[in-house]
Amino acid sequence: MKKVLMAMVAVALVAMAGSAMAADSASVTVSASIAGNCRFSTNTGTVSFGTLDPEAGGNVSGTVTQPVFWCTRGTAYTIGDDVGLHETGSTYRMVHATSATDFIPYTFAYTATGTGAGAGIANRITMNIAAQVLDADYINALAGSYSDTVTLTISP
Amino acid sequence: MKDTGRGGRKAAPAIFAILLFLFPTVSLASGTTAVSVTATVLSKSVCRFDSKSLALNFGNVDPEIQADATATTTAGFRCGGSAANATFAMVPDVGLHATGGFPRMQNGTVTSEFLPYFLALNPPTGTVPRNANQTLTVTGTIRRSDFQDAYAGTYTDTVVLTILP
Repeated sequence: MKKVLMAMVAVALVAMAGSAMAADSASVTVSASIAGNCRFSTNTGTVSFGTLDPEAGGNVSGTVTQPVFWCTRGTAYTIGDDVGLHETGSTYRMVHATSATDFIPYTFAYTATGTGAGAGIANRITMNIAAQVLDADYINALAGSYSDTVTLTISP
Repeated sequence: MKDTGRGGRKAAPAIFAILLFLFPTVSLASGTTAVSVTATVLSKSVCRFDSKSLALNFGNVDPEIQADATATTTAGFRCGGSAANATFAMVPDVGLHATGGFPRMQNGTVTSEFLPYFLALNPPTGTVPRNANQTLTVTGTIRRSDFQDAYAGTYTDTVVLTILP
């Protein structure tokens, strides 16, 4: 179809080449804006400390399933979080499943911190979250399950 | 002006005849000769756009969209002249930043960044009655594969669209 169209235009050009004066033109301004967006392509991540054994002791690092995001190429991003649901000040804490007054503090950090430059939807960026529970924070903790939820926000 | 034109057309064969008369043996001496004959038939029609400037704006394109981006605009035109019907042709150029014959928009901030697109004209050519208003539809397309990893920002290009005759 495109070839036919081009052939027709070529024929028309040849036929009318001598009448170059009898022509009119219009200027078409073509414009588009590529939105500078950031999105999490993996909306959930997990941090699991497994079973903390007070007798074994030692700091325990969590096993992390990393959230992944992308940003429009050339777009600077900023990532922040809400310090979880049970924080005290800027300290992250997990809460006991049945005893609402028992907490285990933990550290939560990510290398994709602050601002950076997006590289397009094809070049996804991994959060690189690292989390740790210190020995001193669980050796005398109440037995049971603890949990927390941290909400990460990326902009724009 | 018209009189001069007619005079010129009459004079040409007359001069040719004189040349033949003066040098009748020149062409014969060399055996054969090729005579190139050309003619240009001027169109009796003149077509004009209603407006000299059109805008084709794709708006804000989200890289996440799962389909090609399209934009449409229309241009009015009409053909006049002494012929009852006019045969026209729309001829777009490739804009200011084309590569390989395909047009591209240029990023307004980072001038080394381009966004390829395609233009389609409907109708590209046709025969229309004299002095009747016509509408040309200009459709632009940016392929998803071209915008999904494009650099953020505003892109522009300018295409000159010519209507013949």
